[in-house]
Amino acid sequence: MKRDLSIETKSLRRLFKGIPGKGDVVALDQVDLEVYDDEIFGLLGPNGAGKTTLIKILCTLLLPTEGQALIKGLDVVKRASQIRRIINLVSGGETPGYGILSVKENLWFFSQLYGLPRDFAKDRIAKLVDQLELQDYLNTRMSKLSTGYKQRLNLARGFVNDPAILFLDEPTLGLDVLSARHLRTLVKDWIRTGGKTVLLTTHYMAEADQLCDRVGIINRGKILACDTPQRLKTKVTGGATWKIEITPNLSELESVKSIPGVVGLSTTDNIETGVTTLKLVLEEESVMSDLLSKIRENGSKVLNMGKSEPTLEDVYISLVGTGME
Amino acid sequence: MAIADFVKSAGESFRVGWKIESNWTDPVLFATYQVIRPLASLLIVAFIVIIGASVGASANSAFYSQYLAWLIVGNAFYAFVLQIMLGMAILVHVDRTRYEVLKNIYISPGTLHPYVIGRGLVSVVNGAVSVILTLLFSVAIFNGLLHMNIPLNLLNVNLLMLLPAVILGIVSLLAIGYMLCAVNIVSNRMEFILGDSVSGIFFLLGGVIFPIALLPSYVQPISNVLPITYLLNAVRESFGLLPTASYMSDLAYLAVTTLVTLIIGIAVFRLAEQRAKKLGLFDRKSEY
Ligand SMILES: Nc1ncnc2c1ncn2[C@@H]1O[C@H](COP(=O)(O)OP(=O)(O)OP(=O)(O)O)[C@@H](O)[C@H]1O
Ligand SMILES: [Mg+2]
Repeated sequence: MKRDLSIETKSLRRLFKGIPGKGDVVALDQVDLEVYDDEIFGLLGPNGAGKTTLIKILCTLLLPTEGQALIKGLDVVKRASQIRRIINLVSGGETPGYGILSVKENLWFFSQLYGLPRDFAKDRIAKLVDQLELQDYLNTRMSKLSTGYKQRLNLARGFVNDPAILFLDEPTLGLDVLSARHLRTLVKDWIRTGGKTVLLTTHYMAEADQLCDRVGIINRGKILACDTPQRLKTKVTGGATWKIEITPNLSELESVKSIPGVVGLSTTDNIETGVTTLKLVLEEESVMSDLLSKIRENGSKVLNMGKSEPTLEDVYISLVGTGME
Repeated sequence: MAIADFVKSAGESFRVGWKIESNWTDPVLFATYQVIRPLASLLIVAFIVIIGASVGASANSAFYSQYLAWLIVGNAFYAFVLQIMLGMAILVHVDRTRYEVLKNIYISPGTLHPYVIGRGLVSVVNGAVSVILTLLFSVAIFNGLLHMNIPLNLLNVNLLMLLPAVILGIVSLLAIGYMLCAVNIVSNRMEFILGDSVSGIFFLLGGVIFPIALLPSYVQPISNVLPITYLLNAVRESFGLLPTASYMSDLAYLAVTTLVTLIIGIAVFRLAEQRAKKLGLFDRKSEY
């Protein structure tokens, strides 16, 4: 069954003026992206990869330098006013709203920017307040809310016009574990209402894995891979993901990384036990013998090793190269 | 955007602006901004005039009290300029950096227009309150307290002359406010001087405290293209402080300069908007 395209970019390119003499910064480079109706699509990538830039272009906040971006088939440059009716954007870490106004007043303000009829807006706000568990703060000034509650208000604002396409730029930034989980449930429930699309960015791999139907991994403005988390795991890691516990830590991490056949490497130190866990993505298992001798050369002892299930983090690491802390 | 939706968005922006800007709930702030500030600047000038008049012993007292009335009306209506310029000069800056709402307003169906107009109207209302209170206090002080018999009878104002002039004047000031917003959209350094400098220029060149004829001849052409010049002329004519014969021509000049200002204001705003989309400025953070 062919699904309808919700978001589409064609050879999208965006340059920014860099430091004088250093040339332009290429924030997006020939990005071809297709996101479908009823899909939660996640963009993963390191800081400065171009995620926010892409979202800003799709939200009509920023013009592309070259190429095309379409929302429901409408060009973001030429048909911006039609697009604005059907989208909304929530940026994590920002708290848009007037501090001296209450939660309710702030939501009401934004609902009216979308021209929502009074009763409809009231119902909608009541429902959102309920879903985001803001009932107790309805008449509280926004300035008195904690960071997490401000973020909930921000999310409620994003849903206020019941957009067809919702852009979430690091939506769980600053949320506690339960609130973040709550948000993920909310997004999933919302997408089930049908005809919706979510494009989100996150730095939390588990979140993307759990929430997204498909993810795109972006680095330096280029989409490196784009598929369901499951397929990415088998495709990119080839299933060969290894976990090796050593002590003490490697003095020369680079020498291990540069072994031919090592696709990705990340390390986590347990300070208490002095044990370092290496997570490796290998091209093939035969690389293991080179690897073990290199570890011994380094003077480290192998305590434990074994194959592990590939995770989205492994995919990310092997594509982007470095572990993300 | 449908007109009904536009009005709704502008109306709600007005309500929000009213809540966050108006100082009704704080009597001290209210008195300071709406009454004391305009009244103080008026009294300073007025007393200089009064002292000047008493020093020049042969002074024609009828002339001076006529001039005082001229001065009071000009100063009172200048409150529109002050409130609108000061209000709109920082609007975009504050809403972008402190409240972080600008980009979310921009991606709503009406973009920034209904919001800018709604918020501008808050300044208009603040200005109107200020105008009325300044006039009342002036009459109370000069005629009531000081028995100066200044020819200023608030009950004799020709409202049919006053209203069209004030409405046109407000439109032109809002258009200039649009330009200030435009400057703020693309520049992050002007917000603190913009309102004061623009309103200061209008104070000097718009015929607020002295007639334009007293200005050096090379700046008079500037005065002659400012809507505020014709606004104040028409207002003074409706107060019977200038010959009413020139009312129609002043109103015509006001209409033409307002139209031109409006066209320039919208054009400048569009350019700023385009530039902001090109450079990604709608969510720019403070650079300080
Ligand atoms: N307004 C701007 N002016 C100049 N350069 C910019 C601007 N906005 C973004 N950039 C540059 O474009 C590149 C991509 O930035 P972007 O904000 O899209 O990254 P990101 O993937 O969202 O990163 P993060 O995970 O840190 O949020 C970066 O090199 C950034 O410095
Ligand atoms: Mg970002």
